[in-house]
Amino acid sequence: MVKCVLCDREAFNVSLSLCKYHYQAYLNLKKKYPIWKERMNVSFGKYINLLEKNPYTGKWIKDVIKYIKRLRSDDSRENYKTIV
Amino acid sequence: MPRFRKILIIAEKPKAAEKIAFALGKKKGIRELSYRGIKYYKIRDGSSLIYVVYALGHLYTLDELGPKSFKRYPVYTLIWQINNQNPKKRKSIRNIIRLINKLSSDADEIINACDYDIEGSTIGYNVIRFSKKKQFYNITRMKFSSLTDKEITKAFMDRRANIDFNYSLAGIVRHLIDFIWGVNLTRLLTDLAESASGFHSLISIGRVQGPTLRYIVNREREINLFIPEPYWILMVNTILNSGDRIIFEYIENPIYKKSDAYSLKKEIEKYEYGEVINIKEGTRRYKPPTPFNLTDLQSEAYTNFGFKPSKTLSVAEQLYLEALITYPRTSSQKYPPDINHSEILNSLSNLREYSGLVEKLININKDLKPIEGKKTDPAHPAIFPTGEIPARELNPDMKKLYDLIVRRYLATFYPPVVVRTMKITLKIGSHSFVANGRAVKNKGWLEVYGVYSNIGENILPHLQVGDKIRIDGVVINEKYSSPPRRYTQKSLLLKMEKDGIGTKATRSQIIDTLYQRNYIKGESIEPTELGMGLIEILESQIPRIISLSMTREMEQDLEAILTNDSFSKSVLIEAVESVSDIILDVIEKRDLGKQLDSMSKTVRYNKRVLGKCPVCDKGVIYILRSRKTNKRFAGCSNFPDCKASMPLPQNGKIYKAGTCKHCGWPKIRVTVNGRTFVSCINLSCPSRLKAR
Repeated sequence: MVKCVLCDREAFNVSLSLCKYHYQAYLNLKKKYPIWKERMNVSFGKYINLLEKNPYTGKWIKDVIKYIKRLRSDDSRENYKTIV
Repeated sequence: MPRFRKILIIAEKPKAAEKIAFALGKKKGIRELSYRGIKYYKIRDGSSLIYVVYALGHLYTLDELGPKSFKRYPVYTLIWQINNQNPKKRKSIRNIIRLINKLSSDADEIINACDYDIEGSTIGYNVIRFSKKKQFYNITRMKFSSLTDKEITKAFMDRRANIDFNYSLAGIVRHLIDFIWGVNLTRLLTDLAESASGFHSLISIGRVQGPTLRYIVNREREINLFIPEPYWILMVNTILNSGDRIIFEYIENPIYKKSDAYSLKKEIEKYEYGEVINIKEGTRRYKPPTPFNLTDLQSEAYTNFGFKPSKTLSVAEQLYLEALITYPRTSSQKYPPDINHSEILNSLSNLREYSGLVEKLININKDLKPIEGKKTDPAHPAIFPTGEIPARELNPDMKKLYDLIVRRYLATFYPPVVVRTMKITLKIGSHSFVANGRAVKNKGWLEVYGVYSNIGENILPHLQVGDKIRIDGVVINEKYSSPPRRYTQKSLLLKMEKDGIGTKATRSQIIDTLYQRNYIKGESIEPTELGMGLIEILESQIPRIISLSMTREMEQDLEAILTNDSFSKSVLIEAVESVSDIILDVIEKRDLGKQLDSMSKTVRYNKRVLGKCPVCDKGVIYILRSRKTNKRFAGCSNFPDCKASMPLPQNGKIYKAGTCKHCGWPKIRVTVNGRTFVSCINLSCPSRLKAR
């Protein structure tokens, strides 16, 4: 069983190694970016930084943001490109 | 010597028995007797001898026939047995049953005077059917909604010649279904988890518990997946010649683009004055609140006093047993047709706190016509004060709730609150801004109920069309959409009522059970890891257990028994078939057992985890026990690669309490002998050294 990289649940999307909730969070994150881009004219990086600091942002969304940032700072640029 | 006709009255609680006995024996002579420590009453009424005894709630409860074991399921052969569940009450219950058998064996008439609802009817029905009786005897039913002398006497005189069998049957079927559902499915889940791991860990589920827990889990998922969206609110601060200030809001708020908001701000800042172009005045009426039913009372007591719904029910029951209010387990928002309001009000006017309010009310509403709600209940009217004066000093909780109920009752007679509304439109350049004002013109029912409910005011200064107002600043507020709120006990109770699951009497108990099972936590309710994990597994493997529609349909079927007892058999068969189907479906699912076991293990493990290891940054620091000394300590999960470890307090409960800002080691909260302290576990942490 492939596990989610962010929690103990079974991975729902095996290529991204995310469970159904973190995968849904990831999809929400991508879906809402155009709204933020239009309203605030921010880059994706700035968008996730702002969300990370926002108290209303959901826990699973913040988990995915941390994961994305970790990938960006790691040597795994390839993975980062895949996910973003 | 003439033979007396012997009547036995069975009340639900000791206090109710006392009230009934004193009401019936007022002018006839009453004797207080005792049998093995159980008080009962004897009244001589002409040619009748009346005995009043009490039950302590359910004297009989359901039990399975045969040996008890968690491995034994499905269990469908059930019997009613003497209630042994509470060890403190066990002896009293046995003595009460002995007393009832002694008195019922030669009684000519047995009266069920338990609360007039499904539970009360079931309690009385079971007591009567399992007691010793003569060959020929009558069973009758007393129906009352308050324990005042007048109502008890009337209920005794008008007692019904038959017992409310449909109510008893509905209660019995509900007990059977809840037992069959709860016991079998709890054993099934527990057994599956045990088979997978070899260890016993109780996994409990109930018929209404499952869907209720699912509401909380679904809400948590929405919150965890929430992404806020930004928007902006533009406001203009103005100052009048008089020095008064008014804040106007942009008429097209909210603004959905940051650049638009800031360019608008820049444009408005160019202007020094705005002009009043319109003033719209109006009035709004707020009707008085409707009489209390139980859900409304629980909701209002939660808002005003922070009482849990179960606490409100318990305090309201105490007030009912003191004959101060009517029966609280009701859905009705209507007063009974034969109610004598002037008698109640006259009586309430003897209480110093309410005399002025009653006097005013009588002047305003001479016909004494109250407002009523739409909801009805065939068994009881809305909750209202009986007019009896408290015979003793009420405890603080009873005092609060009594005041709330009295004021609500009085408020239903008062006129509506009239609010004067005002909307001023200000033109700045080509843009419009508005300010909304509201002022209470006639206090109406707020006069009596204002302490518990308020209508916010925003009084605007007098202005005229054409007035020029000086602008004193333009402000932009950046805001974000917010996630749905977590349920509170109040909102969860309302949701359960709206969806028709549970009953008015059981809903608050179900919420309490979810807390006791450690499925939910907090005032603002969130699911625990265990609650979340359980719902996830059940959703994927046995969704029927937590199906809202199935629970709701079953509730409707149970309600239907009240009007047609022939439904009872089919409702019961349906429940048994559902449980059997679930068991047959699930019994082969070995992976379900593994999932349940892994969930329990994860929960147990996570309870031990204190935080990230600051030494290796890979493992976690968690609570361990030494094999040599059995003492607990904190160690890294990355052992032997990481040898980070720290001693822990040996007594008390340990909870994680975040990360220490001084050294990065986990902090712990320790509760020992009722005292709690928070500390960093690192012995060389600067914060600890400083404290020393």
